[in-house]
Amino acid sequence: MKRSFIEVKKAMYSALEDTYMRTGVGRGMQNYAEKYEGIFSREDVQQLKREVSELRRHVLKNIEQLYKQAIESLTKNGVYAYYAKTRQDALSILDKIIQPHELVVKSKSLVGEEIGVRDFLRLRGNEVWETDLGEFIIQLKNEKPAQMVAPALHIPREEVAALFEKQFNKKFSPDDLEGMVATARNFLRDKIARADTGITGANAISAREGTVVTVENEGNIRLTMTMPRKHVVLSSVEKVYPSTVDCVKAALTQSYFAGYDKPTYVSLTSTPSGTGDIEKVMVRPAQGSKEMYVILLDNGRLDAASSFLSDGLRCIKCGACQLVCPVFSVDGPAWGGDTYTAAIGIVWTAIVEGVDSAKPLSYFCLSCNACNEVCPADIDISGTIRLLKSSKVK
Amino acid sequence: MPNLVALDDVAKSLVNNLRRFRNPLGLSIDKLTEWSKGLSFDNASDTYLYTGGLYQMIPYINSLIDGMNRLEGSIPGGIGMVKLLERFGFNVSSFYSSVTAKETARYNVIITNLYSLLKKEGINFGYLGDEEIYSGVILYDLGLDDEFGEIARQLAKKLKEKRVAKLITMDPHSTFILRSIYPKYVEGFDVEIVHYMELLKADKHKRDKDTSKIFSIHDPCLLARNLDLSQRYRDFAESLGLKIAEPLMSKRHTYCCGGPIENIAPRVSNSIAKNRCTQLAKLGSNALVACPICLSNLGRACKDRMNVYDLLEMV
Ligand code: SF4
Repeated sequence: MKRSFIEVKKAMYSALEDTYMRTGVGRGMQNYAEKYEGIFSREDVQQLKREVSELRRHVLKNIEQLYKQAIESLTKNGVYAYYAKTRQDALSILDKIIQPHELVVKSKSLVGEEIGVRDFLRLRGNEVWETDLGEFIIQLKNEKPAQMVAPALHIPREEVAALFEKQFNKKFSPDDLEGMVATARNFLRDKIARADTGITGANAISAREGTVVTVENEGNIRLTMTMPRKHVVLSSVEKVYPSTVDCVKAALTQSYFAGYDKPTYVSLTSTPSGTGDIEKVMVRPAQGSKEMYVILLDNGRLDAASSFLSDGLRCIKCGACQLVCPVFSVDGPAWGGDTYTAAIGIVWTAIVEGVDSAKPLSYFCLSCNACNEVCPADIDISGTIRLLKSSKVK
Repeated sequence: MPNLVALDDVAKSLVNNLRRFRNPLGLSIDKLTEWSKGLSFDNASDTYLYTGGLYQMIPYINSLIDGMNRLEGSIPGGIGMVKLLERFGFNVSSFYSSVTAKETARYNVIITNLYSLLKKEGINFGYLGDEEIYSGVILYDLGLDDEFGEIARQLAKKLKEKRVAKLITMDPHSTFILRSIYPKYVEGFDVEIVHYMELLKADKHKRDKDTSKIFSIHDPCLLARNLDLSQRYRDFAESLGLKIAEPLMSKRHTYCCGGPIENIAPRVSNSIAKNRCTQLAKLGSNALVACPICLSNLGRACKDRMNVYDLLEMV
């Protein structure tokens, strides 16, 4: 959505008064600040960072060739793979894959937010549930994600309790985190068990093997991709790496820089589920999904690859830059576009919504370089935001 | 109804002032050179002290931000402001009503202190005086590349005229812009830029440790991340006898004072500064900075909770 400088300023001023948001974001950032130095300074993490930042440069240079190769490899694996140039194209593809009466469960996907998949499916009659706890809370509040990895960062426990009370018709104590999580778990498990389609994102996809790599701690992605009959992966063209090993490196890096000292689950998914246990005859499905689909969204990325925004495409969406950003610490998601917020989120907004939408946001950047300091992909984030300020677009 | 100040108004006003007065706030030159009255300089030297004007501007920045806050309804008392603007249009220089001599004296001392340190080490240097030109850093930060280039070329020309080979700088912003950005905008710019912390020898200014006061040390962003001077900053503070304490988010992971957007969105800027004060105030009631922007912004935001000092005030 394009807004003027004054409109953005107004929104950012009023966000300063949002006590719930300030509390949630403040606590989240404090917790992150207390642990990230310990993780970043590890020798293995440093080594991985060097490798992945090189890899990201390679990916950016070969972006077109890589995503095309991935589509070929995925197709060979028996996966239906598509390139979607626009948001609308992606939705039309989904429209054909998913029938209007189906129950759909979904794990966290920023590409999904970008194309507005939840609202799209709901409006055509699908029942849709977010299985990631943060995203589930966001769904209850009907908002955009505050941050790349922790979408509900701006919603403190007190507000979660209130949202749960409304959804489940029962009282929750804000300090009963276990009780809230258990309630969501039971509710969502039931939905997952009955769902027809599971939508997930992807941290990375390999061009050579056509393997989709995801990293998570909750375990909801695994359930979402394996329990329903159909598994749809929503991802984007810049997430394709040469090999599966590269993908795993990227996924680990994403998890470390998001502040986790090790990921709970890393999944590699290459084909729909099957078994050859009876006489070596392949039968599909076994325990997992019967059909698998991958949609690679472009939505401005390929154009950006040859513009002053290209460095932004090296981002692996770990969210570290947002969690150290002083502007984010007081304004939260108010400093952002329709999907992406703060720090690199301003650059992402330029890539997917246009420079004219991002430019008014860019002026609130302090150029303090806190973001650059933590970025595993070695992106000059504040430098790119400054280029937005100086771009000639009105 | 509060009036949110538009970006173009701020930008235009800064650019016009720079063109007319060689500083973005439109101050008369004597306010910037006042500190040097009665001091001697060796203008035949190829080394010059470059103040960049930022320390001298602090009281006026404070007054400007106070005015903008009134105008934008962040603090009461904006009615007169609105009337003034209606008559004369937006100009940052309409805001300096309340600057006292005592305030200007405080910031002038910071520069004379540096002068004395340099002299004490036997360093010979000149000073451009009323010919000094502001570096243009604020224009660069606002993305006004053409206007920035114009200023950069003017200052570079002036330095060439005076045969300056080396500039001693005193704030991280001017240091960074002159060292890393000027060469991209001014062909053949090869003046060596040295921040005073890189030049002075900390152990030459040793003083006994005063343990009665603890200073929470705040790393200015550019000083820590772009100039990599966090360690020298600490060495200096220690040798000056200051007892320092490390807040959450320090050195290369420091948290900005909010200053860089004070003229864009003073209310946001102030909230950031207040957050930083909370982190700093956990360690005591004194904070140490080494940057005029931090000094001004944290100074204002922390004033109920702590005293904020610049390293150069402590010598
Ligand atoms: S820009 Fe860097 S730090 Fe920010 S989300 Fe992307 S990879 Fe992480």
